[in-house]
Amino acid sequence: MSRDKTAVIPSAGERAQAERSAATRSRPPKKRRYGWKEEVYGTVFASLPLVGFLLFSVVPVGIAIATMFCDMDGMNISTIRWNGFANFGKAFSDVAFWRSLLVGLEMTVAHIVGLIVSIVVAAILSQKIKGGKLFTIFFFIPYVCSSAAISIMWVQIFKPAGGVLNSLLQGLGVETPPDWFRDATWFPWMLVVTIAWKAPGYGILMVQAALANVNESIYEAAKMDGASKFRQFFSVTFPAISPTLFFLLAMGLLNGLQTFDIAQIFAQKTSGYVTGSAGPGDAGLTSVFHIYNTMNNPGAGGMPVASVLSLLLFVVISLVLAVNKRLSKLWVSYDY
Amino acid sequence: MASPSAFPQDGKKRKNRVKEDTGSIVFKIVAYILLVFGLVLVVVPFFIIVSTSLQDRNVNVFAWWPEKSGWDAYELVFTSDRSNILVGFLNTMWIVVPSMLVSLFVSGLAAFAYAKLHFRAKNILYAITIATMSIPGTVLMMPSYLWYSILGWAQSPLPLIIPGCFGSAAAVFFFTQYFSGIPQSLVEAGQMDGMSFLRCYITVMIPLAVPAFVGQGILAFVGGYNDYMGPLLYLSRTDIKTLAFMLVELQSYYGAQKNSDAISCAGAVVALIPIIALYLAGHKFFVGGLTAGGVKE
Repeated sequence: MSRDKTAVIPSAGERAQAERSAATRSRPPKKRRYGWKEEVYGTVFASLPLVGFLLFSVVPVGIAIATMFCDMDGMNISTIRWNGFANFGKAFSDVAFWRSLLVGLEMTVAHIVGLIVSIVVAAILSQKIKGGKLFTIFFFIPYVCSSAAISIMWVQIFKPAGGVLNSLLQGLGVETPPDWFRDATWFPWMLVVTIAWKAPGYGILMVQAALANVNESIYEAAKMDGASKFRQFFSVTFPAISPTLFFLLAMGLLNGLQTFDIAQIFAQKTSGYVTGSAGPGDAGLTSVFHIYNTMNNPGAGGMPVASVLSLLLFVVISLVLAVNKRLSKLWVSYDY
Repeated sequence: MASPSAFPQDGKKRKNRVKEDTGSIVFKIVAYILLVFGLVLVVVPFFIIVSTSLQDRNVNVFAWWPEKSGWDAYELVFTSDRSNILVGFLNTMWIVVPSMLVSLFVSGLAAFAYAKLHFRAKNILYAITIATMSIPGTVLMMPSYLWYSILGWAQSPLPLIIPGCFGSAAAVFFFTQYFSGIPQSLVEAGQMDGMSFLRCYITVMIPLAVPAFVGQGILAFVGGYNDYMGPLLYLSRTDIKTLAFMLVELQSYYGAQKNSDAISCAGAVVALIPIIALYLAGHKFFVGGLTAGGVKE
């Protein structure tokens, strides 16, 4: 279920179209020798994943939407009772949720930094550098590490007393390095650094693959026309890899706004230092984390309000992705 | 570079060439400095948890090279009753692996139908399957809890196992592309021999697509092994703790009495070793599976 979390592809429409033709292309010249049998087996085989989607995505969402207009005790569906739009009122007036969206935007900074790092690294590695392959392999390692292990790692690094980072900063002459665990301004940036450390591995691979796909003959033509390296990058390379960059940017926005694991684990690991449930003054409360807290807290509305908030988050994410898509017309080119 | 120039009399061109060479040497130096810097940034955090995990239990200040190093933390992590990391590892295995295998089989079966069989609903079903990929999954996690609690599956590993058994859209997409490259004639030959479609998939397609299956399998395994949100939602009130979930809890068990930093770092090191080893062993398959989904052809 959650394994598909990162497999979300924003431009699914176009992809579907491209793929649909790929799927039909392999169809042999029509000979209906297997007739109905092939018809039945084909349909059954093909719809198995959709049955799973129906049972474990459509049905739960349907139930969640129905309960948005109701109230109930905990998860006990038998205590369900109609209460109109009260949950919506609660959700819209939930200041913590709207603030958590800003935290989510802060988290997208990590992914954007990761994207920039991936472009630079992939550009360097595409120059056929000796040992480049080894670097690619190493740079990808953080991507396969669990957020649990990575959080433990970075909590050690940021630890205010006796931690590596602050000792280093003090060594460099910073007299009072930030108290990462207790200071509400610094707390979210600690999450950003942690996420940004993990993020580039995937981007490097994708950008490298995109760069390798650029048609060599276009460079030849550009060289013939006397284009400088600089010009070649902006007129050939950048447009050619722009669809991949757009994909990565959309994924970054999506993952940033959906941050949960690292925020939740950091909050737990630093809970001895502060009183908030998500860092000092809830500075690390991302939207999904807030939804999780709401779900587990009947006083805040429990499951029904959590469902409304999930719906709101879904709408916000869709809007952000739609704006991103609209803006992409300014810089993404699909001509290559 | 003494490559014969087409215009030997053109001295200007020669000079340019020399300039370009020094330029590329400078580029190479800068490139290596940046890459090594990046490598240091990637490796140092790993080094830090290793050295912290070996720290003496009475020390709580970080040292790059712990003076008195001991294996206490590792001993504890492996022998404790309450949060034995081996138990966590085995729990993760039986939750992740069977579901992953079934998922691969089902995704491949659907892809086999899309790539090799013809039936009327093909295009529409394929379009729906691909469209399901664009739904942000994390947002669905909380609302789904109610459904699983109605089914009586909440606080059991079933929500982590059963939905996965129906395959994943991303894998279907990947396998369909892969299978399209396998000649149709092989499937037809199988059918001539009177094979059923299922048999044909198992005996003809799967053996020809082993790299694709390995790649998607590793991807799915890494996802399941590292999953934190699922176990947090569905297993936090049970005795079944998966590895990733256990890591976060480790410290709180021993918080007050001992050097808890060393213990949680030891746990993290132990948890990271298998997954990094798997990645290094299978990165070729892995990488192909990842980039196929995102690069516009």
